[in-house]
Amino acid sequence: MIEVKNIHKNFDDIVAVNDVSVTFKEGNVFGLIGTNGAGKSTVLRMISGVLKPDSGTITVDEMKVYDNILAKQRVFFIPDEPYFFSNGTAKDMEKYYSSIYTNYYTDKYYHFLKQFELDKNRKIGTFSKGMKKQLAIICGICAAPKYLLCDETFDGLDPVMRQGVKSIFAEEMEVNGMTPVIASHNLRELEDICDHVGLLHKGGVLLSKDLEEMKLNIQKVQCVFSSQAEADRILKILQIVKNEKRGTLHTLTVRGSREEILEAFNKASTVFFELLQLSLEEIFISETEVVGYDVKKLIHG
Amino acid sequence: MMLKNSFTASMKENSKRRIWVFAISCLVLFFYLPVILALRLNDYSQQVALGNMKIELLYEVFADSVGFSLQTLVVTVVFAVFIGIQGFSYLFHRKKMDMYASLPVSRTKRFLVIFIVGYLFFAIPYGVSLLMSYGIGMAFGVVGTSALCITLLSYVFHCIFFLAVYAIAIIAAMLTGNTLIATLAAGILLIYEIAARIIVNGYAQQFFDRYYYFSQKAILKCLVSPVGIYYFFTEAMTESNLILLKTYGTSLGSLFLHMTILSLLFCIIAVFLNCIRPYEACGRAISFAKTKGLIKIMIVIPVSLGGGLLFYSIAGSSDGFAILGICLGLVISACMIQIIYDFDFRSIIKRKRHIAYAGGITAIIYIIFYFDFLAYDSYVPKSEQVESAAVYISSGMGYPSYTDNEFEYISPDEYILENMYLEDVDTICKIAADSTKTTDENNEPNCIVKYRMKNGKDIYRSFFVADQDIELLDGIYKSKEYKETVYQIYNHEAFYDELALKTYYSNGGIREELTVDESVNLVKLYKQELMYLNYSNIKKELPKGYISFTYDDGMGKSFEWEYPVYSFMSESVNYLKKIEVYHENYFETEDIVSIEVMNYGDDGTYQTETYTEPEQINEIIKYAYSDTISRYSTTEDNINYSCVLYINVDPIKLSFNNYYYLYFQTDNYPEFINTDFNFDVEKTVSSINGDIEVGSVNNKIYKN
Repeated sequence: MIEVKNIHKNFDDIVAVNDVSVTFKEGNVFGLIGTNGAGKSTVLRMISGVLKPDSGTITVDEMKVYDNILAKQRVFFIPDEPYFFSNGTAKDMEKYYSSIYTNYYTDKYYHFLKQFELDKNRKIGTFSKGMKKQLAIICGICAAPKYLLCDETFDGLDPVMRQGVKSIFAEEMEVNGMTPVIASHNLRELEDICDHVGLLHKGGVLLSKDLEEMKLNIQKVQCVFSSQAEADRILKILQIVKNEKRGTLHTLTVRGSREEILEAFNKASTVFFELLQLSLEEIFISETEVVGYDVKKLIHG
Repeated sequence: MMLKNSFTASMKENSKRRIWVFAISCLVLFFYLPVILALRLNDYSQQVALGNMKIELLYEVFADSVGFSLQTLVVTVVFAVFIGIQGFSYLFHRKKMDMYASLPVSRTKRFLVIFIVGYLFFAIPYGVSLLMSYGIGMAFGVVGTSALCITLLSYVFHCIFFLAVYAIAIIAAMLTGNTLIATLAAGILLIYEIAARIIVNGYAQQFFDRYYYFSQKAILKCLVSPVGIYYFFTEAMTESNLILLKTYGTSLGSLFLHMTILSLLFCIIAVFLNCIRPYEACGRAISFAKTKGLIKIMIVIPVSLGGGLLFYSIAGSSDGFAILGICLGLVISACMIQIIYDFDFRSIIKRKRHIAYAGGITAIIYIIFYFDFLAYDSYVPKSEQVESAAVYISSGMGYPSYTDNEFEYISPDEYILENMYLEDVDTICKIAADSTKTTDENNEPNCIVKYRMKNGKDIYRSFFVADQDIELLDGIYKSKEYKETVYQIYNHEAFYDELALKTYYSNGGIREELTVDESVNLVKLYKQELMYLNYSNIKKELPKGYISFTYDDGMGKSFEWEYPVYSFMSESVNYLKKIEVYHENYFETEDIVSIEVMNYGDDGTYQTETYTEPEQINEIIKYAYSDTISRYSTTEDNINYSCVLYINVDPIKLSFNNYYYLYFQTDNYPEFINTDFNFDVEKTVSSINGDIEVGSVNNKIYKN
């Protein structure tokens, strides 16, 4: 488990991270969401031991990570712009990482290269941005880390590749117990992969919740009530987070389980009723509006 | 996950990625050492084969190429800075830092891997190049212990020197976050002490009347600058400058040890900085934010002082311009550094308090020198604190020359101040104390004193002897310690090798050679009379001639001494007369066709008169002094150098067909010269429209 407690980080006069506390549990895929400049990369760089927090503590399996080889052995950081040796090839990178990690998955490395159709002898400098991201992910996975920290790693990957990477993640989690931590500014990208999501804003954690829990506990309903009186009666019963009305059509965001909502509407007199799945973005908008933030601005800028 | 512990595997991996650096190192050193040596030796060996040069010269060429020189210093420094900064350039790039810093490799291990690989990138090609050079030397016949020793010494010393500069370059990389600024910082760290010493020396020269320093070499005797130590070591490697080492109480071994300790110290500092350097420093100008102000002030102060000194000396010791120079240096350097810090021209006026701090410190330093708050000029040690002293008085000495037993030239001040041990320190302290009470700068002579203090320190002062102390000075002159140091005729081994020593007597015009027996007899008489020579004697009159001793053992050791003969050295003069080598006049009157007297005015004009009458020529010659005699004058005022006598001799009668020039003593001219040139009334010089006349005169002077 990675535990981040009350960390602060300033760059000169700029507050990059302000009192962030978050826990990354093993076996989960953690999505770290935030706008550009929210502090996602800084948090990941501190967790990977690149940066030292000005205050607060970061522990990886109860070991402080900064300047600690034992802790760093369990973490692999894939930055937003991964570095490869100038004029180096995928083969060169494998040799380098193999010299550092004794049990580097060399066979798996070349297998993945083949799977992703990356030429091991081609200079990395000639790779596209997406190919470089793929290679970085392969390098990271084959180092067999316990925690794989990915900073904007899925940006630039085409949907097919993204799906491929996700399936590799799933396999590694299942087989080797890898815990990915994925930072992104794009909620949609993380929706189908993350188990837990943390929202960073202005250097602080705005929200950190289990995705399933969030999804199960909030529903979206579109309905037309038979009368205004019926509408008033039902709306009083439900925990309405948001109610948008266009003509007679109500679009409701309602807190509660699917079963509870269905039960309430079964007893209601409606002309039209439909229970919809909320996107991660919508859940976030709802949840954060509750605590007083205009999340549309936070997410879309 | 497990880590490979193999340090060598990491080194191998690092060297693979930096192989291009190794290739450059090999290529440059290959051309710099064996290739150039082969070309030079081939050229010189051809000259040796033709008999134009001695074969010993080949060794000198070899030693020059593989040994110590300014070129090798530059090559080593460039490589050390280049390899050092290249190796740690990952510190300047965030992408690289994200990768390297997140890897499970300790900082120290990563540092040592890069450090050792970089060091070997110089040490291996350099060693191989030296080996090849030695092989080439052997092929050209330069063999022997000396060649091997110089090769080995050169390798070991240059490797240590490289280590010191390399560590400094790494320190610069650790202190900064950008390649360009790291290179600048390395340069500043390398020259900071030298620059500071030069500036302090410059201020001391400008503001202290009694300041004395040996030479630029002595200024470069640095404490922490490896470049300064290398330069000093190189200079001292030559036999002639071994005295420089003695003077500063050091030796080649001490310098070697000094460099080694410095190298290790810099390495430790580099390791320490590596451990504490924040990774986020990449891209910044300075890694440690808290040091920004201090570094800025430390750079701005010497730049401001240097600016002040430059303006002060260019503007003819103008205090106003000195202050202007300081202000310009202060503001410009502070603004430039701030721009570099922020990578933003708009930051030019930020942190004005740094300018205030640096300006304040600069002003304090300037005032300390200006008003001599260190009491440098008034300092005279208590005689009981002084072990012994040495005194060098240049006036009246002509152009003395000194050598050691290797027959290498040593400058008079270095030789005398190193070798003279006067026990009468009371007298010297009294003369020094009296000199502080007089403000008359026209006092003569100027005297340089070295006090050897009982606490082991050496203190130097230069001052003019007060008139009332000339008698005291005469006492020092007459002392055995003084004479035996100043006149090598008393103790140098060359004067006992009568067969290799040739003796001549010259009155400044006519030169006669003495036989071995004559020489032995003359030296015996001269040494006795020389003991009685004092400053008052030589101030009164110019010598009648001088004895030249030319030593040449035929094996490459040669040297020449000149000693003046005064009229009061009656026994020596009588002996010279007896053996018929003494001549009153420089020329026989009948050998002179004409004498052209040319008197230059202060304003660039001149008056010229030509005398052809034998009576006038005879009279002029009686009053005239040759340059070789007039240089024994205790003051320049004794000789009227603005009045030149061009002697046109008869080419048939004399072996040389040339103009010869002589001078008059000030206020001592033939009567008709006084009249013709109005010397006794007032120096009036006729104005002549210069260009054509000067051209014609110049033609006359330099025609032959």
